[in-house]
Amino acid sequence: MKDIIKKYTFKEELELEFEILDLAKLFKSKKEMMTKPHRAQFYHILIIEKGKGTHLVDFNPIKIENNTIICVPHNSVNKFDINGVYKGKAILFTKSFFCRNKYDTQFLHLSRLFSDLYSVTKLEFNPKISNLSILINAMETEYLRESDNAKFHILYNMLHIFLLQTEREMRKQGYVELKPSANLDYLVMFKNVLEKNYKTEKSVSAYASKLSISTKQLNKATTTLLDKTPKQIIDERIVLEAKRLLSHSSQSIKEIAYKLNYEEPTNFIKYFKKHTNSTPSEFKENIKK
Amino acid sequence: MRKLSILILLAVAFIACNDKSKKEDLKTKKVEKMEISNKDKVVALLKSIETGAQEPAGYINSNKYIQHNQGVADGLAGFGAILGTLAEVAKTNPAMAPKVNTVRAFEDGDFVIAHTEYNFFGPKVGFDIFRFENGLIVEHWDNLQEIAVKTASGRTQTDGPTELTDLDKTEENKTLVKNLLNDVFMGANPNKITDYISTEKYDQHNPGVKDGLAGLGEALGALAEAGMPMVFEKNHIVLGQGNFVLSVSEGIFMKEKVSFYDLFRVENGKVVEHWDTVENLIPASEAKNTNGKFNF
Repeated sequence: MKDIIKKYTFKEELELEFEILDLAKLFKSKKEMMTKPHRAQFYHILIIEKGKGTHLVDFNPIKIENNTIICVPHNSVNKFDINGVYKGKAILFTKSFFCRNKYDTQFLHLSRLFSDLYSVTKLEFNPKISNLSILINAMETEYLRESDNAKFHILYNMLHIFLLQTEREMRKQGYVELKPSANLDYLVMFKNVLEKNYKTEKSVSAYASKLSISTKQLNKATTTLLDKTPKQIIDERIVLEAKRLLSHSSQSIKEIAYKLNYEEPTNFIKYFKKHTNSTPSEFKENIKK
Repeated sequence: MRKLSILILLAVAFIACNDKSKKEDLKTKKVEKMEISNKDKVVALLKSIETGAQEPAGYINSNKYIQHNQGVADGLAGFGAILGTLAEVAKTNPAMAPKVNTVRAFEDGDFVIAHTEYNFFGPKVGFDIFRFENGLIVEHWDNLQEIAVKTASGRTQTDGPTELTDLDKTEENKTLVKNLLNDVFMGANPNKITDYISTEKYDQHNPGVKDGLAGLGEALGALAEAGMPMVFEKNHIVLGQGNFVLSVSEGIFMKEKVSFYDLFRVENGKVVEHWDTVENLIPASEAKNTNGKFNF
């Protein structure tokens, strides 16, 4: 029952929860696993030098193109394109690798690169002229070195610089971020509380009271920033989880309904259909294709 | 030595007989009984990859042949298997027919080192190291690299002097190379480079590097600027005879874990010439034997 969706954690023998790998080799050796929907317990940065196909992150299609960087948050369900071309590098790291203090945690949580407040970040990147290339080379070289006292700290700091430089590129390329405001604080807090409770708690007023604000304030925060009501955000989160669970075949629809706190599977089916225009079993069939 | 003197005594005796036919017999006998040097055995063994000659395989101890080429299975069987595959490939594609031309070879104790141009699944240059026990080969290491179409210095990866000289300076020259590795390549005293490498002459055979210390500096600088400095992490062995010294090291080059085989020629206490091969390491999980690439 624990294995709700196939989760991939970091290899246990790795002393560092950080890897920088040749993407083509990785795709070749793990193709079977990677082309099925799977939830990775780590952040991915896909540096695509040559690529083709459609990658799915949480069931949203992302076009794989030459000279791009795609940032995939942890815990999202990935599906690599079985007919796709993935050439370049993959940087993989866990939250515990990067988050040495509360500032790191905040950075990773709020950064446009990985935040679920936005769509998946995909940047243009020209390896021949980008200063990111030097940093990628340096991380690869450092990663191959024999371990010593400095290796972890150097990789951690290089990754930090890499993320900051990537954010800067992102801004240059016109990605808009939400400006710090009281509303943004409420939204982020709401998202955090929702993440912990969405399986059991579905009412907007309950979340507002957890945040010690009124439903009106919460409503204002989400509609101003995301043009969505709190109810919509709650529904999206439940539906996303339902999709994630459905994409893994071992659980029955009844079990998934139960997991999501629906006592009657028919209610779950109706709810799912209302939000996705397909029944859970139709969705399950489609995702397997 | 004793065998040889007996042979000479016998020869004198037979010559005294003044029997022409017997003399002829003796000559052939003498050739058979003469000890072939370990170096000659290695050169003959390598050449047999091309010619298919059977006898040189007999220089390998059939009960113990420790293979360190990570793509070849252990033992004499592994050596045979790779020759079989080569022959198969050559059958369908005559351009892949094996060719072997050992350019230089030398000995250090029980080790023989050979520097060879190959057609071995494509044109390659390679260093082979063989270890002998009781006149038979018991262990093999190598490091292969593809032959470059064009080199920065205009030299090939194998040309240049081949003659062994300064046989009395072996230890001195090996120490020079050990110190060069430790101080410069491993970074203990990087500014000492001119203590080891001649500022007047440094003939370079690495295909990507120009002649001279300036050429070396330029190549290493370009790598460092691109964020991928060449890293020497560990030296495994230094072998030499006279003016030639080979070092076997491991490290990182162009974002890959590699083995570095560097051959230096020493003249008057300074390195004046350099040949090398750099080969990517095969992960242990993909290796065909468990002996490791190094383990001297």
